[in-house]
Amino acid sequence: MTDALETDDASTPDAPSPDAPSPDAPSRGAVIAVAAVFAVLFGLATLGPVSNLVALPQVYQVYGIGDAVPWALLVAGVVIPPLLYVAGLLLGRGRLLVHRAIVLVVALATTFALGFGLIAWVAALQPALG
Amino acid sequence: MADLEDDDDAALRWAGDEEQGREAPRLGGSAPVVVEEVAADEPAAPGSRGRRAVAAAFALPYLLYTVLWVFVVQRLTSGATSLPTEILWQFGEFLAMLAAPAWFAGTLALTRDGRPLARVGWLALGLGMLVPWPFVLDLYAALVIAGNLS
Repeated sequence: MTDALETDDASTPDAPSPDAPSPDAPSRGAVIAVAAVFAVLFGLATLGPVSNLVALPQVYQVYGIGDAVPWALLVAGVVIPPLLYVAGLLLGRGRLLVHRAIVLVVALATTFALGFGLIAWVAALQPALG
Repeated sequence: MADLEDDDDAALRWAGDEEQGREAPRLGGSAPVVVEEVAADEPAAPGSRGRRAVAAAFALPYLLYTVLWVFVVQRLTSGATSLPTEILWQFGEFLAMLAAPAWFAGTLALTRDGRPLARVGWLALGLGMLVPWPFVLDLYAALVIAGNLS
């Protein structure tokens, strides 16, 4: 009986050999695909802030409040998405593919939340229009 | 008697068991049932109680943030004139609503084996980054107006 159990244990076909690569390690192609998809999404998240950076100063000029352009907030809006994208890539290094995707989803969601926060600050700091 | 037991054992075997290394009958009196002992009092991983306490402490603030972001998104308007811009805006609003629960869940998942202090740090950083500024600034403006009126 003991022999039977030992045979059963020894003949387990799924036992990984120590030299085999970890089945959890993501393939390079999958990693690049995830990074590319999120690069596009972060790029889309950058469009709005870039548009604000270009258009808002002109609007402020038209209304005669050109000196009150919130440059720091506008530039921050453009810088934050690529910054969080790179941070997400760095934090995801060496992790499972699904964990990399989770990190990048959180970074993307944070990007949009920060973007709406910046829009609110720009509106709050806007001087009264004469 | 021994033959009778052998017959019982034979009835409890499947064809091909020998090739798979299962010489013993799957059930039956002659085969002792192997019970894997589950250690009920197995010691928890170090720091797991601390990590759980941290998660519980941060759950309420993150829930509040989620509710506030949902409230904020209801009040935001894009003013977009093109469909792609409007779609992108809606997508952003959707993700902004998900930001707080995603940060919370992501932190719990990715710091499962880490130190409790690391979990505290990431959760605190999330609370700092995900402040629902549109709500806060609207509330501040409303309080200023109310103060001026009174």
